[in-house]
Amino acid sequence: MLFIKECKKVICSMTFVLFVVTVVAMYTTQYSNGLRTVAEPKPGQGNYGQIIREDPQLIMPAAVESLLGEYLSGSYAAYPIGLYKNVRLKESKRLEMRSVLEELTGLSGEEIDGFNDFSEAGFFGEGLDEDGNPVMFYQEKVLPEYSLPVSLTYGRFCELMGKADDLIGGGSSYAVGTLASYFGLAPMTYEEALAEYEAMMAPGELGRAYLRLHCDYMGIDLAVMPVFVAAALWQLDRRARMQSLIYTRKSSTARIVGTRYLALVCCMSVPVLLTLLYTVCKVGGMYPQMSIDWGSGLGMALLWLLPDILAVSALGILLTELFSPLLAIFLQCVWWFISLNATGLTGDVGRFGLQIRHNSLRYSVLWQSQEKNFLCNRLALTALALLCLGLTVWLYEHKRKSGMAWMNRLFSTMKRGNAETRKEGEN
Amino acid sequence: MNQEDNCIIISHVDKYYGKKQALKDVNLTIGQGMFGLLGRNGAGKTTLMKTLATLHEKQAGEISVCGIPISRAKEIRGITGYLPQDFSMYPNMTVYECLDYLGMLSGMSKALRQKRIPMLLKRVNLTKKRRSRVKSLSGGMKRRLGIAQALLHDPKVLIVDEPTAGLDPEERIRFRNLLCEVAEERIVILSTHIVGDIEATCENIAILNEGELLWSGTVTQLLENARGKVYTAEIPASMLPQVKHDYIVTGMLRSEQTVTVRLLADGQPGGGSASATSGESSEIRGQGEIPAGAREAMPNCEDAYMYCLHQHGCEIVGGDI
Repeated sequence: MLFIKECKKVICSMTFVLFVVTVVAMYTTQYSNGLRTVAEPKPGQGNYGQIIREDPQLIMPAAVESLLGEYLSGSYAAYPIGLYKNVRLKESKRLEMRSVLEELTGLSGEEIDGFNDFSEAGFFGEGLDEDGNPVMFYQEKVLPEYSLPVSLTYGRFCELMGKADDLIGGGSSYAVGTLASYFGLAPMTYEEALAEYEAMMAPGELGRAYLRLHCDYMGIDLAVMPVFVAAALWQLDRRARMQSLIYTRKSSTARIVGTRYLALVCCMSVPVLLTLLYTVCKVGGMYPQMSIDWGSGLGMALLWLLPDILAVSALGILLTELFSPLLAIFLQCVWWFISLNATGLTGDVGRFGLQIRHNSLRYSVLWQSQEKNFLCNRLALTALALLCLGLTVWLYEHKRKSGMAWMNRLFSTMKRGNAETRKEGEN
Repeated sequence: MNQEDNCIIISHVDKYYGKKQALKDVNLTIGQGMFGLLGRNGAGKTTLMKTLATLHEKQAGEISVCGIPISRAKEIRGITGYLPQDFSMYPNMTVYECLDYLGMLSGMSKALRQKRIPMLLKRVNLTKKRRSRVKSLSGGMKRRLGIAQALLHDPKVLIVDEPTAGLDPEERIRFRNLLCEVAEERIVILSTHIVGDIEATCENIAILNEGELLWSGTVTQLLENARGKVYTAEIPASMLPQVKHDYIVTGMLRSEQTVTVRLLADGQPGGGSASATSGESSEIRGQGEIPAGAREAMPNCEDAYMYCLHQHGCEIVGGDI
């Protein structure tokens, strides 16, 4: 059976061994070694963790303090494509930002700019305490005195923050959608912690919580590693100089490409499924007194992880067929890196995008609020996979019939066009 | 059975690579048995072979393979076996596994594969190597494995591109014999620039040059065409440069003071009547003095091929082949 032969080709490749090693390494080092049972919160425990609250009383002072500090320091932190960027504003934009702050703080522009005692928060030195123990001295942030205007509504505050984010160029912590996650963090009360614990212990939820965390870690690996296996398999014919022998066979292109792709996906799914089963066994062992319902959790896990394998493999084979395996790997790594850095740790589920993160056993309610986005995201990835697969079939068929003459012509036309443009430019 | 069902008909075929025309209005009919495609490097042999193997698309003209138009690629692939010039197989697969894999891609059933693969391995003398990895095979063995894969699905047409390049003389002869054996029951197209391979195996040949079909017919006709144009002469070594300039020299054997040359000329050399028939290159040939005593020789295939190129005005530099 052709499928078995293709599976054998995948399994016997070094890149597949590398894939399995990274899956196992990610699983053991990041997930399974740190698995603990979730304890019921007790009254008077002191610390119940933190919770994000959409509370204007909490968000407004913290956000204004942060923005004023960044204005006085002259630089703003932003993550426009997931990567850190230190933004410095031009004079015109600085003046606009100052007017935003005037409205937020009630201070005049001269009062803000004339404040010379500004100091960033941070450690400023080492020394000894009264008992002679070494200590580090911490400096609080020093800002001009101000208070939020009474007339400032939360709606107007959000508008001003949106304007500040625009002035910075987007991706800052002042974007309206992320204000709560940056400035709305508050300690959880016992009641909140208990409610969350009870929600987690509801039928089906415990299994989902552990599998969510499992998928969070494995998703990082599966958003990039399949491209190595896919590119290596697709390059095999070229490396073995076997393309002509295969192109001239009777089998249809859809059968050849489809079987290979299916073999790739199935082979890579096996270690992922095994880790899922291991999680089920391990967590089951941690709660011997409970009968955990794994059904919906496993469904969610497959819906989470399978599209990663499908999309990354399909994109990998398309780019390898179109360009080269190295470029396919490079482009996938870039996408993975940007996506990883652009995604928040917990409950960050965009409708589109490569990665979903929920790096916690907790916040079930937050996750549930994102389930529509989760479904949309995974369907979008699956659609991307099918599109790439279709394009690969089309491309392979073209190569089979006419080599890449059409593409060479396209590239030579583009090169000629560029050369002529340069020439015209020089003239 | 219709005669078309047993032959390949190529009519008015053009093929371009960008602006370069690789095949120019090629017309050819290839029947059952061994058919040789001869030509220099870059003559268009591989392009024609690839077009017949459905790896390239023609820009104009018609091709039918055993009655099937070339546009029906899947059907053509089902009846065609192709051994490319430059090929290998998955190095870590065994010989049997490779054939089994390609057999699957040819749509063969398991039972048929189990029957045909051992039979073909025996035929190409690779039975003992069936469990060896491809990477451990020698160049000759790989070529034989190549012919086995091309014959796997029992094709009506076998297309073999430069199969003997790089093989040692013994392996080359063995390979040629193998091709002759399989040609008994199918059309075999052998492309090569090694004239000796054609002479030893093919009854019918075609000569291509710069994408144009110069000549097609039987080997006997080609030899007949060169009859009376081939001479041998013993000349002083000092005259060799002049002779090479004036004539197409197809062979030479040096002794101490003299050289026995084999040359092409349209008339009797030495009498001033040696003028070539046509073409630009012929103008510079046949004008020198050859010592008397040059004797007419029976043309071999190399002579006939060179004469054909010369006759059609192809430039042949310094009499070298």
